[in-house]
Parts: sequence; structure tokens; C-alpha cells
Amino acid sequence: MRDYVLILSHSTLESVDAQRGLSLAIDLALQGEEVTLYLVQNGVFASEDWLRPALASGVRVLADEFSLQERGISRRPVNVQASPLDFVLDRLEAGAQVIWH
Amino acid sequence: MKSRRTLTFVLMDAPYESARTTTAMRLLNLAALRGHEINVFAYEGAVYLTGRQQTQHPNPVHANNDTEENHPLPKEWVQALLNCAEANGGTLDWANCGLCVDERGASETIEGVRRGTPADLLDFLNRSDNALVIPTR
Repeated sequence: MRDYVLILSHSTLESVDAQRGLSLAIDLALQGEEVTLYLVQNGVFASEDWLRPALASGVRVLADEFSLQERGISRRPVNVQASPLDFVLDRLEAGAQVIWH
Repeated sequence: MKSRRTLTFVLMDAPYESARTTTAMRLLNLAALRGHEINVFAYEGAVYLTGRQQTQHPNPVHANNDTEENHPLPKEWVQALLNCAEANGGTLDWANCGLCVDERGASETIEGVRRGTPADLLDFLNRSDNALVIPTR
């Protein structure tokens, strides 16, 4: 089982990359991989409805604290934790496959 | 204390064009604070990040002189990263892709960064424990 971190930096309104990243995360999780979606920049606008399939597939979803603060977002979707950007560096150090969308 | 890693970051975005540059700088800063051996391969518009001739300017709309305006300059961010890496026992090898430098006339850079080639990117990746490519749109 490999450790994947998919960084989503776009909202669904600005790029199809967001949906592609979500689909990839779900596919990997269904294959038994350990997957984290890390929302950064406008990716933190992701809605609970949009994230639900990923969460149901076992994907962990984190949102960059700084990006949330920049955008004045105080309420996050259920089961989405705020995280310092250190998480990404921690995973790089640990050898995870980190992919930026 | 975490053990030292060799990490490569690949950047493409020109200064001021995208929030990706800000996030990249945040990651590089974290890596520098942790004392890692950091490689940066900057290509396409990212070769402008280290431009030596970036300067402050006044803003007449805000009635600010250049000091008051204090516009952020990416070259200062990169210099701060170089200093931070050294201060924390790590290294930062910043290479601007020479092909992209030539195409853009971006050869005048701050001290401490260098002109590279795609072969440097391959070397970085071969020597790294991990790598992150931050793509442009």
C-alpha cells in the first residue's frame, strides 16, 4: 500500500483539474492505497457534497490553514480537518507520492 | 529531530501570476527551516523569480512612495530562502533552466542561484529522496 497526497489548488468553478484530482483520489483509494486530498489555495472552497464520494471511499481530506484564513473560511465541511502546510513536507520526507493538481 | 533529506521542487510560474508561487515559497521555507538539502529547478516563467533588476516602485493611486508601497519582490524571497537554508545547516541549490533563461532574457539574477539545464533536473531527481512538481495551468 502506497501513500499518496494529492494537492488540489483549484476550486471546481475555475478548473476541471479539481474533478480530475478528486476522481484520481477515489480510484487510488478503491485500489487500497492510502490517499490524502490536501486542499490549498482555492481548493479549500470544496463543498461537502463534492467531497462526499472521496470521504466515503476512505480518502482523508485536509485543508491548508493559511488558505482557509486568507479566504475567511471558518466553517469547514464535515470530516475535513484544517492542517498546517507542514503536513505536505512531512509526507515528502516520509517518501509519499505527492502530486499537485 | 528529523533526519536530513534531499528534496527537489520544480517550479514553472512567473512571479505575481499565481498563488502557486506563494505556496511554493511557503514549502521551501519549511524545508529550509528543517535543514534539508533542497534543489529547485525553475523553468518557464519561474526563471524570473530571481531577477536581479526587480525594483520597488511608488504607487500614486495610494499616494505611496516606493518605500511606503513596499511592494514584495520575489528576488528577496529567494535570497531569504538561501539565507535560511544556510542558517539551519541545509543547502539550497537553485537552478534556472538555461533554455528558458535565454528565451526570456532573464540572465541577470541575484547571487547564489545559477544557470542550469534540463540535465540538472534529471540529476536533481536522481539524487533526491523525493520531489514535488508544481505545474502551471
